[in-house]
Amino acid sequence: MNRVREYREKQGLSQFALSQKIGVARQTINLIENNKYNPSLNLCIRLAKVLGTDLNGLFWEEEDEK
Amino acid sequence: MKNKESLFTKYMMLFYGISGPLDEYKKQEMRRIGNNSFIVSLFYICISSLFFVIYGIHNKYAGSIYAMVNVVFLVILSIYISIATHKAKLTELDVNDAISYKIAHKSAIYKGFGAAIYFGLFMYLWNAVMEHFIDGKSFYLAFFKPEKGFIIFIIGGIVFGIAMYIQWRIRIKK
Repeated sequence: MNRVREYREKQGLSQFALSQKIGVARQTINLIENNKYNPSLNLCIRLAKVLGTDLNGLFWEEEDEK
Repeated sequence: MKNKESLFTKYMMLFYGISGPLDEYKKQEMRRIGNNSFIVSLFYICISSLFFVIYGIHNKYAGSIYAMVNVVFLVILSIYISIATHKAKLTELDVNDAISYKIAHKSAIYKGFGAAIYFGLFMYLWNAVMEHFIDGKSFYLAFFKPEKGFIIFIIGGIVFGIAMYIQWRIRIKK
């Protein structure tokens, strides 16, 4: 599982607000959070920048999380 | 972040009924649905053409049958595209607050009006051309005194416009 939802909630953003900030549809954010869509590297970077973290923080799974 | 979309992209969005921004997920789904449709169409064209060539040698109605089968195929393909776009949530239009809901609702009304006018005009012109070429009526009579009267096109346009409005209205998600 990625941590997009966790970071988004930490920032106090709704899915809609986040989608507006990075220029995608709300459904896309929902699909990413539920691991139903693998975003491109470009979108991952935009997500990480808006959420104030890096790619590892958002998408890297620790061994015990698997 | 907004990218300027080309006219062709706008047409594709209209064709697939995509609402909201065309992001990478929507583009990917659009391509997937388009590719599936293309592969099925390619097989259909190859097989149906072969049947048409073989069957058409001895049957004078083969051309008409082929045209009808093509229409059936197009209907099936359209149903697939509309189910696939709905399932991939390409058609949903998100609105966040009351103001954007109002704007989206107004836009649906305008689109409904537009669809009604376009459809009514298309029906009228199509009917006039058909009356001229098939029934042999003069251009003047076909255009200015249509056999079914003008009311049928007005009613057809209104019904189509209402149907389109309902479709766009359903796509708006609060």
